[in-house]
Amino acid sequence: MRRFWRRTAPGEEMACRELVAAITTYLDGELDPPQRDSIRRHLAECTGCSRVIDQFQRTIGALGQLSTDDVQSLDPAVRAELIEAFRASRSAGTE
Amino acid sequence: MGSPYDDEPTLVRALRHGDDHAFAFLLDTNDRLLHSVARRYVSTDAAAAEVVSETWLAVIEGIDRFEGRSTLRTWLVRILMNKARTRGVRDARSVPFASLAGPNNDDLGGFDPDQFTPATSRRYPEHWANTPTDWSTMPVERFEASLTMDAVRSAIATLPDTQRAVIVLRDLEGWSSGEICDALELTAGNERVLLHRARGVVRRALAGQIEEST
Repeated sequence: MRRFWRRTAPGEEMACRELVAAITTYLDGELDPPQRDSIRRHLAECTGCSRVIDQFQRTIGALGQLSTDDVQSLDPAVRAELIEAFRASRSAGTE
Repeated sequence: MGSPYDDEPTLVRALRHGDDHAFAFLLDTNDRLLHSVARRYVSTDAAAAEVVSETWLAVIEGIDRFEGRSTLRTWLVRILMNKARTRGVRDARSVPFASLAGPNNDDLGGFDPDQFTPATSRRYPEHWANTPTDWSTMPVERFEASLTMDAVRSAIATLPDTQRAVIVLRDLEGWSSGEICDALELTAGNERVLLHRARGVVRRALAGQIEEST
């Protein structure tokens, strides 16, 4: 994680570009408390970065909407065939 | 709750003993997941169904080799990915590798480098040169529009394989980072970098769709 942060010395202000690179780590809650705090301080003052955090959250939300899409349910005939194949392989293997 | 097979060691033991109810349970609880992942790797529903069937046949054959060091579903996804890759090669299906992320700006969340002020800028180095658009004031329907969802799907399709697998498992299927690392044999740091890049590509595609329809 360090590498995202090398440009900012302690006490120095974080650049927007660094914050953008660390968004996923930040949203995952995986940053050290000092790093997290410097992001929060930055966000309190920076409209652009706050918007980008919001853009990421909405992006993740849109991705979540796809989870139920275009997925077929298991064809009953295929299901029956697979169970039959399982049965056959087990009885062949254990004899 | 519900089924005794919810306990994974019990399920694995039952599978090895040839309990076909256990196998039916495994099918019913994981088939949707496999279809969802497969669908992102091959071009048609029919091809996805074939890859999933091949996966199940490999599972039937290989259940004795499952060592229980990962969860069953990570093992299933690993088999599926191998089948899907083989299948992809066979189909010679190449998803167009449009460079939606642009060159060398992988960590920038899908923003172009010139969206930021230069590092040499005196007053505000590497800050926003142009303030990003405010999505929070846009109508919700715009995010749910079918064109928007199509843009998200196409963006996913253009991602390199591993990035695509990471974003599908994490943001579509809701897996934990640990399970994804296990299924795809990645370190946690690596997984996060890939996820960030992939989300950046999708964010950019979304921006292209919803900011333009203003």
